[in-house]
Amino acid sequence: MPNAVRIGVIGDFEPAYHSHFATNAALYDAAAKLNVPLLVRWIPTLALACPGARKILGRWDGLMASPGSPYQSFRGMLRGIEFARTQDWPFTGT
Amino acid sequence: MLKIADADSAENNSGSSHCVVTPLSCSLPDRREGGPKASGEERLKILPGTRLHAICGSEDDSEQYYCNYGVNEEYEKQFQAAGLRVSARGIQGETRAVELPGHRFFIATLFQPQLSSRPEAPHRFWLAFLRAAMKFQKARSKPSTTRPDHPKPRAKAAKV
Repeated sequence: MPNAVRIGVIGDFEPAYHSHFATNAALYDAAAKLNVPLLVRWIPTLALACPGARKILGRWDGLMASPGSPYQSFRGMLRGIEFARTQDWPFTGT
Repeated sequence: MLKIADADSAENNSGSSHCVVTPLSCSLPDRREGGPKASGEERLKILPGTRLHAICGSEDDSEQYYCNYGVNEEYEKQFQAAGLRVSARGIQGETRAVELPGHRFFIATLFQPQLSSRPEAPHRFWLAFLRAAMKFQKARSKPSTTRPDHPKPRAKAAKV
């Protein structure tokens, strides 16, 4: 059994927001198709506005900027994107 | 990446004179009642030679949107000069997706491929993203082939 692929979704999860629900669903559906275990966790933007953001971001195999602005911390969101861009981390924002 | 210190999104109302993200000027024809300007489906062109094109497999595509803001076209040339490449355009030439060539995987879209992904037919975009993450995980878990740079052991001091 391969290791779970770990995806960190940068954003402030709102259960009632359809795009957020669809994000999780699409990731798990794709993982099922690829037959790979998947771990998805949301990373609150405020958590990335503090020191230690790099350590938090570096735990994931892929990062994603969630839809649904404005974010609780725009700065935190930008830090996440900048990390992925400059550190060559798999990234998408939709 | 544009080296603009006060670059911002117009959504933040910061008073910045450099809003690189601004409200969309046109609504999509398929706009949902009560939804944001870009909601519903739109046809778009995926530019050949881009990674997004390699993922989606064709130039003509149709995707789902749910947003009010997009790239300020006044900054498009600056973004391109900084290395960002437009990978999809709307029917009127608007930027709909960008990517970083040479990056492991860096694609941002205005549309939301998660809205048209289905359990029985996951969107190709998510399959490609997960494949990139899997590949990265594998590459990271490999032991380094280069010799670690350990400091040389210090010679024992001679006892006097």
